[in-house]
Amino acid sequence: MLRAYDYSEDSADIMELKNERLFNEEKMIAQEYVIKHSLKTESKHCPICNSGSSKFIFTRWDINYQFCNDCKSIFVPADNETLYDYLELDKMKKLRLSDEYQSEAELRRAAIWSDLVMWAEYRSYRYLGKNIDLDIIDYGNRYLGSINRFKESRMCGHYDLQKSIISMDTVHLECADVVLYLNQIQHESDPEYSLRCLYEKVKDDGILILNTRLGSGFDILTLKGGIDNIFPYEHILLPSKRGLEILLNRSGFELLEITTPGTRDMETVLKNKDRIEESNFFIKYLIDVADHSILTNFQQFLQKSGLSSFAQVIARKRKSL
Amino acid sequence: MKRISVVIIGMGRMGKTRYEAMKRHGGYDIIAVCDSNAANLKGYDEKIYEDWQECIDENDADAVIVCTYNVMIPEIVCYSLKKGHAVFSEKPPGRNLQDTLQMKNALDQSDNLILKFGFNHRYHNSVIEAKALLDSKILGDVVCARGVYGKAGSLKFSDEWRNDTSLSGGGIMLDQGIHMLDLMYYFMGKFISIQSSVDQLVWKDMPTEDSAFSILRTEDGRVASLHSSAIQWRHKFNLDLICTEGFISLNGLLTSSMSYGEEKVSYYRKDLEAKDGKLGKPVEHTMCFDTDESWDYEMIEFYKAVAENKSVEQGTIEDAVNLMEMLERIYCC
Repeated sequence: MLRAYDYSEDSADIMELKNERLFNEEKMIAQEYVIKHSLKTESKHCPICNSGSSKFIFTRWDINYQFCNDCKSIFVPADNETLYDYLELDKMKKLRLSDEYQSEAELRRAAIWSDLVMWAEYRSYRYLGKNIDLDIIDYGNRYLGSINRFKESRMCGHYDLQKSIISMDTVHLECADVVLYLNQIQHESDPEYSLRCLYEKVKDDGILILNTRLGSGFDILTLKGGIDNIFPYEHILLPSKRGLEILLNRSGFELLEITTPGTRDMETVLKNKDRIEESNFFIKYLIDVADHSILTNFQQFLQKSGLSSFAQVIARKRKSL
Repeated sequence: MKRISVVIIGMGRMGKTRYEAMKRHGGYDIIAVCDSNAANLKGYDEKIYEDWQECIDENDADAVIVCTYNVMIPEIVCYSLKKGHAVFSEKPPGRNLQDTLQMKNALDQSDNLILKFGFNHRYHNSVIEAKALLDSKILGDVVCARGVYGKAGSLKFSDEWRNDTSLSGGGIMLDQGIHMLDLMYYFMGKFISIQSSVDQLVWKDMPTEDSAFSILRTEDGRVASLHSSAIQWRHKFNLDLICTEGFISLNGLLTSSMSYGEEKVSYYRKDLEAKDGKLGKPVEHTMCFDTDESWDYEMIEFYKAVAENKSVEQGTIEDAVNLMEMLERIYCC
């Protein structure tokens, strides 16, 4: 595995990734569902590493999040049925498919998506030796802007959008050079099963590109239940960096690289600073005294040290499972 | 795994480095080690020799690894090729172009034997990433480069063999600057127009240069500047590659001395429309590396060439001749 730390410097003022009103609407729909549909499992086993040793870390809308004592991932023990119904909620789908939702996402994420496509082109070349006319399976993507950027990129030869709320006529690919699994693992109750399914979709010499929020990131471990952008059942699995390594290995993948180029931990903590626990003296002090430059450097330190709350992963199939 | 037998001629610092890399690889059987200084042979279980010719003659090895002073390289390489052995040799490929051409001649007369020169910088992670970035065309084509490779000399720098022209053939440019020249050549191709200033700016009591500045130009008009220095005082490695659509910068290099700083490659795409927020400050990405596998990668490639009949990709005789031609012109200017 390439041991590398990837960090980036944001030059612009960071724009919120979501329109506040639309995001609140999303959360309200989710909360309404969560309150009416409790989970049907009591298991405290970590779905990442299977460890039976975990402890309570925080509650959101009466749903308890557990912290795995072994791989340090955060999870909600969830059942497939309740989750499936959540992901199929008409009201949520309607909101997310609305023109306003998609155009707000385009406005706020355009630069991020362009950067992601460039990075994917670069890493595809690095590991496949080619980055033109590739077969791409995009799994679960729900943003039209992101989908179009990948479809229209020079790396794309054939594009197949699978398991998305967006209906689109695309070719059907059994397997692909590049399988994109972007921000999906967060709502998987059985991530190993899902990754084993993806294993079948990656060509023997292809790659899996996965990104996800991390449970071992600075913002979530600082704010815990006070974090405003993590909520059930949208986020029931927040793997740690180590957890991701374990999970990919168990699912038959060889990890090529894992980096944590997230840029928003400090911003999230700053925004929710009133929710930092009183006993967290250092972070409260840091937030009080640090200027923009120090906070920027601190964020870069998090990125470089594998401690930011966003991971990008590239893996390929091991020769035999 | 097919095993290949080797002997190592020269067990100074580089011989030991190659020895360890081959041990890590697992496909090499090191059957003998040789050094004219017996002190360098202590502690090895393999057969030991002080005479390189005896070492080669008495052991029918698949390959000879040459890690000697520059002056010895052509003779040992040519002898080994004539005897039918594959050869891996440390850089530089001799003291001068004439030495290199002598080895090319021996290779041309051999029966498709393998000759590879050690230019390990090509296998550093930052260089591998930069090469992938360039070849992927994401940042367009490289049009110019600036490189600085400098070290601090040492307390007895003038007395080191590297600065004895009869042994080395040149100073800091030939010893260390050749790596930077090789990387520029690797990224941009051969330079046909060269201007340079090769000087003794501080170490005036030795026959070799302590500083070499060069302006190099390729046939299609791309330009590079190179500064090789033994008077940098704090070790420095920096190579900037300016591309039509972006920029790549390699900073620091992981070496055994850990004195060249953290190894990083940074890159950004040009953003004249300021989509990232500010004109002249596009979002920059940096990758940092904490391992140096260059020695291992190099020995893997040599193994594949010998054991699996794969072609030598890096450090070929053509690379060596081109580099020494350019170096000769740097020195002549």
